[in-house]
Amino acid sequence: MAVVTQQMTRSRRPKPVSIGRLSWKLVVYLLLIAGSIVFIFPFIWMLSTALKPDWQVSQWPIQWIPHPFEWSNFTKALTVLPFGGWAVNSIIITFSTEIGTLLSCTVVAYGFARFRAPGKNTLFIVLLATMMLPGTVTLIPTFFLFRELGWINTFLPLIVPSFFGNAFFIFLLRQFFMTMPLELEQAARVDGLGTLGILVRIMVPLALPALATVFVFQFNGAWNDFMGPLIYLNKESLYTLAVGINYFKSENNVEWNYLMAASVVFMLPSLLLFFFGQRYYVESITLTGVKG
Amino acid sequence: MALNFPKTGQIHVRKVWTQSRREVAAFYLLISPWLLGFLVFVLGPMLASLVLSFTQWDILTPPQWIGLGNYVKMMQDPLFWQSLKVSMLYAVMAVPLGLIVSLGMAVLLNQNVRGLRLFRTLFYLPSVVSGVAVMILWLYIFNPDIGLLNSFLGDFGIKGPAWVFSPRWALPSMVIMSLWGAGGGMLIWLAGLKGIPEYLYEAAKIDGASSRQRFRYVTLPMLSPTIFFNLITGMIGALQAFSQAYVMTNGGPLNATLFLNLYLFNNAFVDFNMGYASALAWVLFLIILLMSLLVIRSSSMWVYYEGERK
Amino acid sequence: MSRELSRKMKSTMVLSSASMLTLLGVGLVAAPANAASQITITVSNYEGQGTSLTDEQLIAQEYMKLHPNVKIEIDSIPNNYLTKILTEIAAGTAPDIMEVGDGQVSEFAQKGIFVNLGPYIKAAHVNLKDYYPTVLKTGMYNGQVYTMPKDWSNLAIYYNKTMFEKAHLALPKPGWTWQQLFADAKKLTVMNNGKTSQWGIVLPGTWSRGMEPLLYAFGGTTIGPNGKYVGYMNSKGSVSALTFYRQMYNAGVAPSPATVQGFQGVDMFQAGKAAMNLTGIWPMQNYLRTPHLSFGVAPMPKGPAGYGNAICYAGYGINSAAPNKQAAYDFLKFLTGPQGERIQANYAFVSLRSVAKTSGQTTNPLMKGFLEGVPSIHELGSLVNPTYVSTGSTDFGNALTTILLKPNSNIRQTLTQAAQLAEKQSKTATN
Repeated sequence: MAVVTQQMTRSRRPKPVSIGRLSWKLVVYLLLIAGSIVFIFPFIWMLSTALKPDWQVSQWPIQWIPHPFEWSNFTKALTVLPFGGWAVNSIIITFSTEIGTLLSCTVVAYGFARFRAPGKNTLFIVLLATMMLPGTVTLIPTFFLFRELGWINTFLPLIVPSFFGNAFFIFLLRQFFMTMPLELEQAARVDGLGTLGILVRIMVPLALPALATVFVFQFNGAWNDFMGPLIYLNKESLYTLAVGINYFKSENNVEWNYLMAASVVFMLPSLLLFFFGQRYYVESITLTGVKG
Repeated sequence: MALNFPKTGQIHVRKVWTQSRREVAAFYLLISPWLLGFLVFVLGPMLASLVLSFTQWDILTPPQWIGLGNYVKMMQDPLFWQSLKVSMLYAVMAVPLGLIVSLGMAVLLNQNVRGLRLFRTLFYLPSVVSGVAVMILWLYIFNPDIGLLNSFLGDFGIKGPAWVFSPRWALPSMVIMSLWGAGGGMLIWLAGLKGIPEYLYEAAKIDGASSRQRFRYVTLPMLSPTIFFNLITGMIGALQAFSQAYVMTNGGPLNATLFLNLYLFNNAFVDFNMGYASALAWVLFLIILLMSLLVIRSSSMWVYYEGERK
Repeated sequence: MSRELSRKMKSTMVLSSASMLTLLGVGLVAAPANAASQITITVSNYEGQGTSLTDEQLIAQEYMKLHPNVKIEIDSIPNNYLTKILTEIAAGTAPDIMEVGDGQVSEFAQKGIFVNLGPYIKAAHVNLKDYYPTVLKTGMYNGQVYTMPKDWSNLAIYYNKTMFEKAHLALPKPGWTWQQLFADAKKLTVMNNGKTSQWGIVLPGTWSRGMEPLLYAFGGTTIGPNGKYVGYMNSKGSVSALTFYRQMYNAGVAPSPATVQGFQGVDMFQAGKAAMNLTGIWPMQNYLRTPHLSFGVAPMPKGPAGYGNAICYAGYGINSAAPNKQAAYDFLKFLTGPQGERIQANYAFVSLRSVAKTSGQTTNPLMKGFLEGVPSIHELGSLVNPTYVSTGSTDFGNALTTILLKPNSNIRQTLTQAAQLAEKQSKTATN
């Protein structure tokens, strides 16, 4: 049975070392290091700016090492505005949408991947088509809709739609479900599992890398969402971090050091989540919950 | 065991009927969240914008019906054609390059090397780092007189162009910037690579396949659903490109980076021409839809689904 | 109220009918009726933490102390302000008092979004004569006041004293000319190994508002008093102004427009890389905090046609759909009157001459450089022609870009084409 084979071959085994393999490794390392330097660059700039006195920010050539280190920028940036409340709002919204997105997208994607029905192909095109119209022109009509529902100045417009699926993620998960061998499900069906049982106990564990990707993307999307909270919320106390951070810049004045100090803190959750969450989608292929 | 399970087509006719009726019901039940959400939250605003595309609407006063007026105006609007050209050119450059670069990154990060978690995180950094910081940095890099890129080229005696500030190089500069942010796409490739069962490689090895053959006959076909996904969403994303130009060049210099999506945004919220903006958006919508349909049509020839039910 | 309702209904008609169709079974939830005895006034602005967000809140608090039955709710929208405000206006949920930039005043007035403040001002006996006339005028449309000034700045030249002294040059003073500025800039430009290590001046590049003072000083303009472009944008004065402007760039006394644009966040003047800087009041506080930067401010120089200056302005107007306009005006009066201005004087130019005097702005030597230019502030193009922002301004900006990017382009021809295009566009831009 496929399941068994797969489980067995997942274990690592020592490989013979050859010159070709070694030089390949070297190339890989060089590319990885070069790439890392390129990608870490803006982050270093953020960090360095966050620690500078304001007048030093606008110096040229860039002073990469602040002098003196203004550690107080961080405390000032985080206390001058009500970041605590905004963080709570961001967390509420982000995690609610995670639940909504993961639940709805998994179910819908499974439907599109495995079940045949008249109209399915058309509906799939419609699903994709919802991503094709620029949001600029649906912004005002959507606002009207939520106003009619009485949802302005609440989190509802930001959370509720996530429970009804997101085209991008449904498409992504559908692709992954479709690469999974049918035999697994058929075996499970013989074992007496229903549709939902198969989805939860076979498909979801198999699709963990994809689900983790969805989780990370959705976290980023909701955490960084600026337009949504900006348009639907009118009270400062309801704002999210993504909106609040913008208070450090206005038309004619940007407080770079505070802006960057707050931004560094703001991006940490996404970064830590990614760093520590890797194991879940990198080493998660081993199958669980399948009875022989 | 799995082999004994009867394929749908082999079951008795009567049973097929009930089976497929149940299947249809299951399909609609499973997709019902999306269908409902689509009908309630998405369809209305989309239709409203379609209706608005036949009106003149300055947002401040009620819209006025002008029939095909906006579409007629578009045909004679040099900025529409310019922005269409910009968006198309950008997509033609950015989509294939983006696919290749992000796949390359994923392959690199799928190797068995030390410090992988750290490397992955660093490659992913551009996706979470503040947009402003990124913009500022690119401006430093592209600065024609004292920027990093031209100083570097200067060391080799090359006089670099004015990059984002040159009408000719602005769009290629945008493509370069988009590649830098390929970390998001990389994540999807990585998930795709991780999803390929190891036993397929083992089987291929036993059959004596070289590493190139394994890539050609195992990796590529198994990855084709991911390629399909990244191609379609990459196309949609590139044709709707907006924010880079919005924050860095505002369409300039001399409209060299006036993406269609930026042009319609400016029409909507800067020049108060929401009716015209809606018409532009629907034209863009149709272009993206047509191109996607072409790709979808062709996909049966090159996308392989292990678990497809024909 | 009935007026508000009909306005709302008209604008929602098309949208609602389409979206309602799809609401299916989802019922409408009526907005909860607010039966509070208190009056709530909502205000929107685009202030950030570093500028005046806190000042605005301070003013609101002061007002609420004096008027316990009124609640002021400020929604500060630091980014994408117009997108949000326009959406709210369309949906009929826009705040009672809205801040707008100078480009939107006439548009909002003409389209009936803002109420004519004239009757309210008259009834409240506000002394408009105390406001700088050129500043007040920026908030007017068709001779009526629609927005009251929130804050503003005109343009002046910052100069680095140390660099001037090092080059043995006399410090710039009122009455100097553009030719003198150019001559000084040449002497202040320092080359090292074929590379410029110090620029004479930072010019505004393709930022049209920034170069308008020069345009006016040479007798040029972007738009005529009749709202027409041809014959004005491409007038003799405009051509000679741009010729002079390009000459300065070609002489290498100023970093290229691309270099300036490429340095968001880096200020060449502050970094000691340029001896002069043409800009508004905005960076002054930062300069003052910079160690070893000794600087002064001179008014804009004189040209063949005299002095010219331009204003960047933000004002507050009252939403014509506001339920309690009188109450809104009462707060607006406080906000833009002596009480509010006194608080604002901390960081920005005030508009009331009496407050400018009492707060010390008129005697501050740095601020004086700006204030001396106030009488020569030119009327903004958008006040003459409401479509200016999307037509003339854009086309002039493009012409400016062409002229600076292509050193051999024909200035007269480029301006004429831009003027003709703007003329054509403003005819089709139905307003």
